[in-house]
Amino acid sequence: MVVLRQYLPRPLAKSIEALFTQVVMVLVVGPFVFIFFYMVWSSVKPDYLFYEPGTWIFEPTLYHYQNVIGGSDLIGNIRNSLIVSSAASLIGVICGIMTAYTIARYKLRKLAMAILVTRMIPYITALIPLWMMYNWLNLLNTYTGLILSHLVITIPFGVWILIAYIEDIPQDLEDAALIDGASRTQVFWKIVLPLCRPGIIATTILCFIFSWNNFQLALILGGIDVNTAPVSVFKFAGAETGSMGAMMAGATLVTIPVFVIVMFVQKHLAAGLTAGGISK
Amino acid sequence: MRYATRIGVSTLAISAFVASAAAAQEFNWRQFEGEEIYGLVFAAPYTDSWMKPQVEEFEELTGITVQIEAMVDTQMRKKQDIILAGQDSSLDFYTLQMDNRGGALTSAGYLEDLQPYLDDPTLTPADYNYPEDWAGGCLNTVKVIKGQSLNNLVFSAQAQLLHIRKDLFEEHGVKIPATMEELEAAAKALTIKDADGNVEMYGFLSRGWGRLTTASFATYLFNHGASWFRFEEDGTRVANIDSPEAIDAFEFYGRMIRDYGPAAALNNRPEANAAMFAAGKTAMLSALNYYIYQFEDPNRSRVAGKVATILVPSGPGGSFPNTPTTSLAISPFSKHKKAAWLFIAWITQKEQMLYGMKNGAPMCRKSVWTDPEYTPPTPSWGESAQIAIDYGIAIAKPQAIAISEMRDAVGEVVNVAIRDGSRAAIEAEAKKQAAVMNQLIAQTEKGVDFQGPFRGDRVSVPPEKQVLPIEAIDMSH
Amino acid sequence: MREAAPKAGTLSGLPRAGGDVGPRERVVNWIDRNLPIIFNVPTVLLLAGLVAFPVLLVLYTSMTDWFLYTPEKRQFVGFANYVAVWSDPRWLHAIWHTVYLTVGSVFFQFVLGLGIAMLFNRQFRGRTFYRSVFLLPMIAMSTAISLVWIIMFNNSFGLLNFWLASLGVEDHIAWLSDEHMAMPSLILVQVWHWTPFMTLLLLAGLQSLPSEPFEAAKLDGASPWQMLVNVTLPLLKGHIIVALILRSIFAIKEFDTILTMTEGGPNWATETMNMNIYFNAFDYGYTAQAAAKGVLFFLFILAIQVALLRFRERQWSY
Repeated sequence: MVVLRQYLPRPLAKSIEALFTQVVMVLVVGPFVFIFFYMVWSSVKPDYLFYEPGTWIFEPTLYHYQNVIGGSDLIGNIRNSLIVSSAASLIGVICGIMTAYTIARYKLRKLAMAILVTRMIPYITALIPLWMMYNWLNLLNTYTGLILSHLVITIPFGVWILIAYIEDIPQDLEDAALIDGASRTQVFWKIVLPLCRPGIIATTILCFIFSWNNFQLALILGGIDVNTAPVSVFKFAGAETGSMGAMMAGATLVTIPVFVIVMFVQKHLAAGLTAGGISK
Repeated sequence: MRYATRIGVSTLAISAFVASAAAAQEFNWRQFEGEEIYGLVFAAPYTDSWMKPQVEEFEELTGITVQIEAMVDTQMRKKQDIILAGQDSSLDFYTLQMDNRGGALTSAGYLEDLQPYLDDPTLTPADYNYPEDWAGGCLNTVKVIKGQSLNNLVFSAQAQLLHIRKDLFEEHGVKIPATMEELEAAAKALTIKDADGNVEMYGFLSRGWGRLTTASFATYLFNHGASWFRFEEDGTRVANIDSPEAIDAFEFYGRMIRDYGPAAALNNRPEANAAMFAAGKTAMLSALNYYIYQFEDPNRSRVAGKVATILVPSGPGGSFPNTPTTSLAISPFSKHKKAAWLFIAWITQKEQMLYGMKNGAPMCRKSVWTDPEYTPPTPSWGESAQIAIDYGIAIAKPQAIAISEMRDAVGEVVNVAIRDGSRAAIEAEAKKQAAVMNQLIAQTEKGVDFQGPFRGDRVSVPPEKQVLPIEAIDMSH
Repeated sequence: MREAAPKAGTLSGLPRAGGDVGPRERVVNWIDRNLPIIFNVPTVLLLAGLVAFPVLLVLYTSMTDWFLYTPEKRQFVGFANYVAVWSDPRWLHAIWHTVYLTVGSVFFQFVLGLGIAMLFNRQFRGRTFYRSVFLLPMIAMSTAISLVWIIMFNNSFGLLNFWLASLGVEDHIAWLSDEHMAMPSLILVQVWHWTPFMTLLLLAGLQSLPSEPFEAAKLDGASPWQMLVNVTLPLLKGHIIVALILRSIFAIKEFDTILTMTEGGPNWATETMNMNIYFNAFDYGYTAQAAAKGVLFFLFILAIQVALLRFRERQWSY
């Protein structure tokens, strides 16, 4: 780049540089996006063309979507997933912001560690006991139960991400308010929450994504009434069912809701995560 | 001669049907009205085309509410285990494959004895006709442990068969295989390369992926004169996969996949293999019978009308079609056992099974195969599928309590057979895995006696029947 | 958590304005004084409620001989399971596979993530667009996206081998069905899936860095590489550690992708500790041994995180 500037007129060097940047970005971002393109494109591909990977042009078919929507419970399960993940991420972030605030301001390091430890528990080991507990409490196959179980994902994650945001808020602001006679709770409501807003939104989205992805908890603690999307998606990978086109159609269908949500809030997401100092 | 029998059987079936109409009036279907039952079943073709669509009719007839949760086999088994281990009453009925976890669940006491329900005329319609109307191959799979009660009701007549492209056989003048030698010759002749040496058509495709291979490999093992296990003289059960016949079978199966199959065989799931055949990339596919419906569906296949289905060719040991059937069972912890039984008895009646047959789910009742309302997807499929369920044995897996580990062990030998293929390597791996299997038996089967299936207690498909599907191939396409 | 109560001189120890104490004031005062407790009631109750019982039962189970497929009663066997697992060769391999997968995927995520974060840290046209598009993999559901990768990886008709073939590489790579290739393939998927998240964490760090040290280094004539090693990385250390903590916990516990793509195969080459526990607990029915392995697995994660936290501790003011 520097070399270019020495030998070429400045405007030309600049536009070559700009072009070069664009090429680099496409090369960097391309592979990460390609998989999604391939997924969507394959979902309208007739099954027998899967053995001709070079065939990109073909008459698209909605056959797989009809099959997946008509022949499986995926749509209902996506709805269940939306309910469970929204609730779990909201509750997770509400609990998370309160805890994060106390950790950041009162230096509750041990609590922070304890919460991180719950994040480390391999839940695969605890599935049988969790099921037994849920069975006693009559929480199996209920939204309440599933949402509660997803809190073990969302709360610790929310706390840990939000601590950094709160640490970013200048203490002077809070001190000034306290001296003016505001109570701590008021400070929290009127100063901390508004200042953390981008961070809270970003954290909620991340919690939502992690909850949306969870497969094992939903499988064991859920049931026909509340089964979530990953449970149906996994069916497409099963040994005795489905076709490759159906696999891709299912994968596309479960990606759409998160995609739409993220598109709506993507401004906040990127801003919240980058400007707010997600990690410190 | 065969046709005469068929007409005879279907007349019987019709008269049985008429009789059932009379009996149905007396049978009280509404005795458990208002109860709710919950079943955990495999996500499988029969679930979608046979069980689920008929639930509503059952609910209307009986006033029982049925909730069915279908899951992929591995995940369903996991959930099943957790519920059964918790002795929880929420689960009323479930499906299982007796050759897979039948032994484990029987030994753990997780299967209700169904004989009393079957014998009770208030719970079972008079014309139910079990086991008389059930195909021999299906019944062969029901009991796996000595002294086991009738703790499951077999319904799904899956069988491992050989799907072939009859057009290619004709075009290249290849003999349709009736023996293992002819199978290899055909695979060789139909592995076709283009001018650049790229393979255009693979001769043969079968499962080559991990533990799933046991189900495909089983028929080749038994046809070669081998078996998973044998009994020592003192009656102890030991692994038999290191016998010379078994090594022959591993060698043959490995060579077929390595030399005449695509590399994808190593990581394809069964349905990916089927899709590959449907795409017209392989000349022969050793797979379950019901894939024929996919092959004959022009939406999903490029080979519709070009497929014939025959038995896996016989080997030096005879011909033993493998029938990995599926059964329905009742949880002993259920509080609605009778209502669950009513559902099982209802959905396995002739009319309901016929519904499944017509929608692509092969069923265990003999009478539905000969029913005039039913036409097999292809004539050769009809012949081979029926012979398979008449003679089939549940040999898909090395039956044991530690079934998954057994399958993993055999899967490793198949793996070596496909990748390496040298007899010495196969022998070494088979010895190693046989030792693993014997140790598993010692560890987990205290006081449990598995009965067969072993060589000698089952009948091979007679040679004259072995060729029936080949003769039935309709060459006009 | 209580010994961290406000000390004199810290912010919460500041004297409150207003001397008169009405009933409402008293309540507010009480809340303020006990804020660290009140604010944590929901979190602690929920987490403790969900975690305590399962953990205790797992601990108990790990000391019994619970085998799922036997009608025999469970017996207490003490620490026998904890001893027995060390003679299980698959478990020992699984430990190595876990390290392999974690180090492999987190390392590449970090290197790529840092590089891409530095790219995004520059000003150029369309930056916001590229950045938001780049974040897409984060929203992918593991089970779903694994299905796409399975097709990409297929030996005979996968896109990767198809491209390799058109580049002249005729030998098909057995991505998922070769013992030596399966783990790198899984790592590739992990890198694809989570590099954007890593990038996000590191980009946040980069943007919070002061500019003076960079300008000073530039004046000293430092090469870009020297800038990276001597300025950027040291300044970014705190952010890097948190990113590694968050990512490595995920990577160690990775499950859905492995289950969907390889089921731990071929020949258990991709069986991680988590997968091994899964097989033992459910497929094989060795509930007790699986519980013991679960406890060990937890300690394994804990040890790694404590080691990582040691680095962060110096960054923390408390």
